[in-house]
Amino acid sequence: MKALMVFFGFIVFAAIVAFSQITLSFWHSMGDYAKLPLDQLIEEFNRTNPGIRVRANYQGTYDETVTKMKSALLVGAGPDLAMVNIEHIQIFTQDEALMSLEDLVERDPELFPEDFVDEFWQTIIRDGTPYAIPFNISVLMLYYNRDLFRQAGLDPDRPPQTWDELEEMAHKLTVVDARRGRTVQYGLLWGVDPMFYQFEPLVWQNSGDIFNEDMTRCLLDSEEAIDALKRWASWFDMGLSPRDLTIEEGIQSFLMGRIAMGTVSSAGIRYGLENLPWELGVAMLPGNKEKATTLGGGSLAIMSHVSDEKSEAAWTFVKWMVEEKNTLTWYERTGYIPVKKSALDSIEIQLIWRRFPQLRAPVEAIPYARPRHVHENIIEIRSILFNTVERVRQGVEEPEIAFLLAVNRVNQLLK
Amino acid sequence: MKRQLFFLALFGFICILSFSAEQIIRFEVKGNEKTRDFVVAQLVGYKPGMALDIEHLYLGKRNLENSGYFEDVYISVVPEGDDYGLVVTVKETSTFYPYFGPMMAIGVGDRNLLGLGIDTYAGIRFLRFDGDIWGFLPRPQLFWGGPVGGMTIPRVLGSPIDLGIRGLLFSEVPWHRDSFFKTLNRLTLSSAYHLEPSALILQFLYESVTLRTDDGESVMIHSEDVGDGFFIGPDRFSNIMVGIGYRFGDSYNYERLRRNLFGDVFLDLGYTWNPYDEYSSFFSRFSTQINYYYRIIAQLFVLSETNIAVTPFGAPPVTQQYFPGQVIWQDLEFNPRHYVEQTFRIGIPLTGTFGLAQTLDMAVFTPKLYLKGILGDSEVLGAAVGIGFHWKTPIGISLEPQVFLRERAPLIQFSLEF
Repeated sequence: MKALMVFFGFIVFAAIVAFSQITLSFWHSMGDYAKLPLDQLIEEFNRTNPGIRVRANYQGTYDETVTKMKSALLVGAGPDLAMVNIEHIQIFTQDEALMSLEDLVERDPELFPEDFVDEFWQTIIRDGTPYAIPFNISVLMLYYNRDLFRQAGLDPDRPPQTWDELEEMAHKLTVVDARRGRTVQYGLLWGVDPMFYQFEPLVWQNSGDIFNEDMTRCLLDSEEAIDALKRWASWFDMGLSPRDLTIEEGIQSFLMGRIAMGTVSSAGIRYGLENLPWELGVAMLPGNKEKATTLGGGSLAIMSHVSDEKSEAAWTFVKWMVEEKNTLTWYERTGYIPVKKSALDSIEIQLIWRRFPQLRAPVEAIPYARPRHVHENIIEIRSILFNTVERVRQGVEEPEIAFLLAVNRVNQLLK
Repeated sequence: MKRQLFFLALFGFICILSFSAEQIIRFEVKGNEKTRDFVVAQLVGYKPGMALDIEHLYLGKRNLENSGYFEDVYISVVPEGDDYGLVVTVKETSTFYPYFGPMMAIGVGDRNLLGLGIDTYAGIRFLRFDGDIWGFLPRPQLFWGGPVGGMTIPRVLGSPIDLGIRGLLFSEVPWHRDSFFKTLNRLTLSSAYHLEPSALILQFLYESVTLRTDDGESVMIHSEDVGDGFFIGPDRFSNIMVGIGYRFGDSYNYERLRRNLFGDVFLDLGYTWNPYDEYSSFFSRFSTQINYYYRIIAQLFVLSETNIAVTPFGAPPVTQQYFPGQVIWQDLEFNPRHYVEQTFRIGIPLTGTFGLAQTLDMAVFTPKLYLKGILGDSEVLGAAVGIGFHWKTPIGISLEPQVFLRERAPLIQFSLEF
């Protein structure tokens, strides 16, 4: 009888604990290696915040998450909070799917917007209102194979600073098997994928821009943009970059040490350090007329449909995720940049650099990092631009014509 | 002239003060419930007025992480006027562990006894295997084999020195196929001076031994009776040994780097005597273990382990002779004066769903291939091939059953990791 009562008591206790907890559904886009550190952070949050339980669900790429969230929100089955790519925030704010965080930020005594890196904070502001909190912010970096640099007689501590140096080094790093007449090692792969973000800095570095400030016109028909496209295409024409490989195949070749330099998000640095069969070097992208790189990644947003109780719990979670210590933990385990100035000024970040020197370059690239343009049709626009540069890469279209045609189509969507 | 010199000296002093490094003048520990503050201060190497030096703090943080007291360590500095305060925030972890000592001693240890930063352990020998069941399974038998205990004090008084002591009072210790030590009492004192990430080691050992064969008769075998290099010793003897060693490389974090060389080198000098028949002898030993970890691609790795041992002069007593390859060959008769043992371990860490793990932290299963070879001065023992299956269980214990194909019969081993 006693045993039965103890068992019954235990069941009641468990039920009370379960029902007194607020459960939050959190959708994110961190697959593969980044999922583990994210899960570890969430596990730690759940452990230290017994009244709240965050359940994380991986939803695929950023674009796939947009599609799924849009469908789910239509039927009222969306998450309570989500990791939203900074360029997708606009898609959800126009539907009023994201909660304005203005009140929460203003009345919170522990969160100071001025402590966030200014460039990052601007990515989550729409019409003067914050709709998310920066969390997984990355920049595009030049990854290079230090072993191949040494083999080519180049100094691995002196990566290219300009396009001219990039070309010069890529020539030295390209190896052709004279007997078979085949290139067995390429010097460079500045690959562009459907997100198109790898191409943007080329235009910026050439003092051009992708869109005008109010996002009503595409500027890729400018001389600066067309020259950038020509220069990029010439790397394939000169045989410095492999023309026949898809971006995925190119990345695989790069990882296997068959390509000496490539552009990759800083978010992959720890993955690279733990998986590459060669010594990784990471540097700021080489510039031309000016230096520039792309700011990418996502932020944490609370859905507008959640109850007050849930929004408070979600806010507690979001704040916790960007605390100085946690943003640094996330940085150390991935390569996503700490979002707070206090973290960038901390002694802990210097201890991280002492252990992983490659993580330093993305932080030094922040002053040159530019946020991506945002628009409600941005996914379709990116697709047009990606297909355009792909046709140029494959040699089926001339740069001038390609960008002129693309600009016409994009401008329709911007209207 | 004197006045000029005075002003010159004063100018120099002011310059030194002006350009002296920023100092840490306050120390604070947060998050510790068990561990005393002074233990954290000792591990991090804090001294009032120390310079704010990244290299020093980095090594201090590594010491804290490697201590086994904490699962998380966070270091921050806060301005204190013109200087700084050092704040170490820790998250403690359980420091108790099962202790597996020499000659199948089993017990329990606490890495952080009473939060004083002292690693203490104790165990007893109570289980042995005698004969077999159905002709192949070892038959377990309970017996009293004596206690073992010891402690290690890391970073004594904030110095880079670790001190250790271990004592054992064993009886019925098998040392040969059909022979026993009747008693084996041993006291070991050790100290390590850290030269991060390397360490200089000094060790002192005293032991006293009585022998008997399985029929209970005492043995009296002197070196001249057994020929070159195989000296058992009189039926009772004492032995003191002083050793100096050097440990190199980062053995704590070797899997975090793509390539890592680590290991140790030891030179021992010893003296054996028997107070009853006035027998005495000097001897020396040299041994080195060289490990090389190399991650081939992704998480696929190879670990090379090389053990080399040489007996430069004298005849060590049986307790200090080399019995290499015991685990694989289980041949206690093979005790050469010199030998080389080489092992290659090739592992592929996999995730729970059997895909190649993206990082080592994600690895749940690690199938391993072992290639082992051994060469001694008296005979070649040959090679063994084995496979292991390393599994990180959800409760924090790793299991690894291993099967070896060797020259005589297959061998099944099992290892646990906490």
